[in-house]
Amino acid sequence: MNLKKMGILYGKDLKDFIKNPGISVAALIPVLFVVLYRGIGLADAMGDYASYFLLNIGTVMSISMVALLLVSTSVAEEKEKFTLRTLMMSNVKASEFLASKILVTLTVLLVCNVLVFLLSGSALSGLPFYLLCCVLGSASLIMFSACIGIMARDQMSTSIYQIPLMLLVMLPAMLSGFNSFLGTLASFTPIAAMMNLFENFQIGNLASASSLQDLLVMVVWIVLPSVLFAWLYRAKGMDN
Amino acid sequence: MSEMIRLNQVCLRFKTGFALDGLSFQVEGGQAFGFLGPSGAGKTTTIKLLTGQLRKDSGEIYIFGKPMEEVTRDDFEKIGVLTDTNGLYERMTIEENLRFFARLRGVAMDRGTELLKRMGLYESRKTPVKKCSKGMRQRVSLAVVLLHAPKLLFLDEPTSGLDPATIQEVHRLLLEMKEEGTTIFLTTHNMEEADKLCDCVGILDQGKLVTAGAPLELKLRYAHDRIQLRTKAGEVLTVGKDAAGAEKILELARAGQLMTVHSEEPNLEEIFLMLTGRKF
Repeated sequence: MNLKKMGILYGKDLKDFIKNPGISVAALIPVLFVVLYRGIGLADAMGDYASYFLLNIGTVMSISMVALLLVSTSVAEEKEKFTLRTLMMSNVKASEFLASKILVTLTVLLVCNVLVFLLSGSALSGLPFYLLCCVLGSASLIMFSACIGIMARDQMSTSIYQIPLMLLVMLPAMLSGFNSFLGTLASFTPIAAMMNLFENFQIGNLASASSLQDLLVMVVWIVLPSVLFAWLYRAKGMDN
Repeated sequence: MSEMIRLNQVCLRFKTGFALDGLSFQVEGGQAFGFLGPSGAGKTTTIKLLTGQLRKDSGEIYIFGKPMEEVTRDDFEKIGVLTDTNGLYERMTIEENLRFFARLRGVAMDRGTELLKRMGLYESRKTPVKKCSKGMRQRVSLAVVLLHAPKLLFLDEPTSGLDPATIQEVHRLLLEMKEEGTTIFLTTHNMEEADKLCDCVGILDQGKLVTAGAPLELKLRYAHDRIQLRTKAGEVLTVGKDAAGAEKILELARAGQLMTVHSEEPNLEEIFLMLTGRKF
């Protein structure tokens, strides 16, 4: 992998993200949601529970939206507009192309999550571990997003894959408190597992069976799309 | 001259049948080779094979004298490819596109600016690509491909959709590149273009090379065995290229009646029709 080329692609992809309101607005929604909650005073009414609630919901939204949307939509757009072909003909490797998209997604995700964390009012000491959890929790969805990018022919068709997957990982995690079945289901989703791991860290229960289970859930979720991606890439290539 | 491209009995089969069927030809360094044929003949497929976008089923492909399987990333740095699917970043301006690809290729933007001027795009360099016409986009794509001054240039219908003035400018640029030693492999429907730019042309039909040679050589090889004469009285006569024909020409000339003599070489389109029985 040529790091210089990857850096050039990263700069282009980051600028493209900023210039593309279709994606950049989606990344801002979780942050705006937390701002709105605080602004209209709902958070005040929740008392001590507010920061936990806002961090949870903001993180679930940002990871499920940003991690799933960015890579797949961006890859599909490059395929649809034939810029991927031009890049490949300019001697860019598929690995450099994809690594740049993943790095941009992680950058956007971390910026969003830092904002969500600060706006939620959580204790600053937890920020580094929270960001580590975010990377672990979002890795599987980023890989799924890369798989969608390979499968989808154009931007329109990415939503066929994105929306069901988004609902699968987002809804159980958001609604887990309302129903025990959803709670159990949520514990097997990567986002709920990462939030649980972070909660264990906050209450000093990191070295526990619960944390191990959370880590295991996240690792399995990372392995599954990685295997799928390897198979899809071998079968279809990046520019199919 | 060194060998730049060589195909030996290359076959490629799609679900619908053979895309290329035992294709063999060779292109020498510094040569402009034109690949002619109707849609679906296998021209673009050949470019895709030669640029690593498709893999052959059988046969041998050599680029820069190396088997295709041994062609490295550094070798690909010496290649430029322009196909009908070369895309540009629409949210960027013309200049930003050039700058981005120049950085990827490790080329100074001076070269990009020079190409913008030569392509007549300098004045509109700040225009976002999404606002450009088809002809402008094609010129920008060509400028992107030429940024790193490739040693081997693949052009798939390079002037398709361009206005006559731009076509002339593109032709001038390609002839300059050829003079500088660039090997050009181009596919085209435009016979005049092939005649003007190419040292050698190959006619492809249904995945098979029907004939190949210099345009003039082909015209002479497939020339009609007859001569058309026009008299001062406006009469048009056709005579054979034999003693009787020579007698007739002489007779008209002596009588002061001979106006024009045409040996009627076929053009490339007629040669294609002659060899395949089909029109372009």
